[in-house]
Amino acid sequence: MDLDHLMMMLGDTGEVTAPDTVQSYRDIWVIGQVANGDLTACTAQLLGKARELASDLGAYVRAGLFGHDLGDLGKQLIALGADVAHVADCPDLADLSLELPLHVLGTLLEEFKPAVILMPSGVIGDQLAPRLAQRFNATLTTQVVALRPDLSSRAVMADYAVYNGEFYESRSILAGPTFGPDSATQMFSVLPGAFRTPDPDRYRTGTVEPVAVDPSAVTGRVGVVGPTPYQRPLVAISRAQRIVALGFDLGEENVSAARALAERWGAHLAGDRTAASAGWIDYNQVVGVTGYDVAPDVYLALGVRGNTEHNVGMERARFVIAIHPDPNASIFEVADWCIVAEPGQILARL
Amino acid sequence: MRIIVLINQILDPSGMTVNRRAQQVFVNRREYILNPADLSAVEAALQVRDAAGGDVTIVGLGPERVVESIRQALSMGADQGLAIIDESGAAADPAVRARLLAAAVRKAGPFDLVLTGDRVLDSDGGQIGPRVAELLDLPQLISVETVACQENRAEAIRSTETGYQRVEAPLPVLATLPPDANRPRFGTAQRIVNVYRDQSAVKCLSPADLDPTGEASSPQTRSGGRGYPTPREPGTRLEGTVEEITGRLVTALGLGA
Repeated sequence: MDLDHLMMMLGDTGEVTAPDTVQSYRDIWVIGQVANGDLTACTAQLLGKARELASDLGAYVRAGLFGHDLGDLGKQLIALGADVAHVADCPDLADLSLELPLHVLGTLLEEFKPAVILMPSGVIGDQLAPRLAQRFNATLTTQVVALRPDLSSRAVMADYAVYNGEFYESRSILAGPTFGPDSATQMFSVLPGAFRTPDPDRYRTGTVEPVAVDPSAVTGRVGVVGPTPYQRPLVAISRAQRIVALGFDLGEENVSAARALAERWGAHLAGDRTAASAGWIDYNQVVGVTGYDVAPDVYLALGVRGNTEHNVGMERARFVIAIHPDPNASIFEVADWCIVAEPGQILARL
Repeated sequence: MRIIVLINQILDPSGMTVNRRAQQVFVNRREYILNPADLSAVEAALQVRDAAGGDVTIVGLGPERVVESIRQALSMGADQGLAIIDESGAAADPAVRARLLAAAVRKAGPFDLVLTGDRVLDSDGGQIGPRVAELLDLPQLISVETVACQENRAEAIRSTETGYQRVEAPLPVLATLPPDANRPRFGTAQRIVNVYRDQSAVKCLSPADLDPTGEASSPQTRSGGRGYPTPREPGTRLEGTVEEITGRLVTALGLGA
């Protein structure tokens, strides 16, 4: 809670003017996202984190939600931790990448002057947020994986992922308190899964405020023509469910056996950079920071040594089986099943 | 058709080892490369130019070495290069970076299309595209697979949850591309030699040329400190003879019969 707000509540209005004329930056906001008629998991995680930050820094949590056919999702925002939910429900808000949602969000920012805004990455956090940050001179950190309150300056510090999450960098604001009149909004676009999902509390109370939307306020320049068939020029190993990955220690003589296995098992062929250099796979099949991020159900690594650059690209795989002759190969740090053997020997019997 | 491509230069991650337990990044080979998403933006720009005519200007912002990456884009077939040499590191702040790049785009003259990557590997620079679009008051097409220009409109294809979708906007427009949108071309040997011989291929400016008061280049944020993700839980080591192990694998992978 801000000091001037507190004073007003205590009835000490002698010196402090009412907050709506002070134009003070206050409150922690969460902008929610809807998918398939429900709040996304990331939205719930953000509300849980906002609640924590709010009790550390002394602030209220407000949530904003845009879309169409939102039903009673406003109440869910309250149950997950918001004190006030601002809900804009309008058929023109169904596609968030267009200009109307930008306008609606901008109007809210202007009216309420949030001190901190948390957004899920994706359309809201990566398309709308940067434009608004530039418009309102706010700071924005995207790809956020951790948020920490700095209690002495009442600001929020963020860690954001670089090199597809190989490590994190920290960013803090240079000047001024986060709350109060001489401030600027701090915006954060957060990756899903960064925080714990809170349990909803159905008995939490709060107000749901509908936001009036005037679709004629904006003449949209970007228009959707319609669906279109399209074939990407590159093989999308990013979406493969099963992957057989080749590494240099597989040995040239076993490559054809590995290819046959991939075909028989219905898997995509991939590999690390050394396999591409050896000519066993194409460069668009390379897994890793400079190649592709993959998240298959099963990732079978044959003779892949597993340097950091490769491991970061496949660590979201659900189950990893690694076969490598060296017991100290770093692929075993990310594998669920570690098999210390010549991959050729195993391949011959599969 | 005048096209401007904004590029970033990054430290090559394949020359780098991240040890999460020791909480350290070891750089074995300090080499800089063109950010992969920006590389596909350069390729998209060249494709638009090849279809509709016009010229492609590459704009890079960073320390002196950014010129090398601009030369790489020139050797692929771009027409002009403009480098904003900033050794102070103030451009690590996204707002400063966007303001300087927008000023450079204005300085480069009239334009129809601004292209850039939708992410930057070594920072959260994916926000630069929309920020520049805001500063130049352009419509934005974010993370699109292809861009094509017809008369006064830009058409793009973007991927949605339900398949691909065609979107359009009037020129001038800003579009960003993901790193795997296309297959970037290589320059011909002759072009590479020519670009490297031509000392004046890349025009260099300093931030002071674009922002004489220095107001736009004062950062609001500071970067510093690193964090590391928690290492994955160790897995189980499969013991036994080769036959036993392969037996378990065949069952697990469903390869039997």
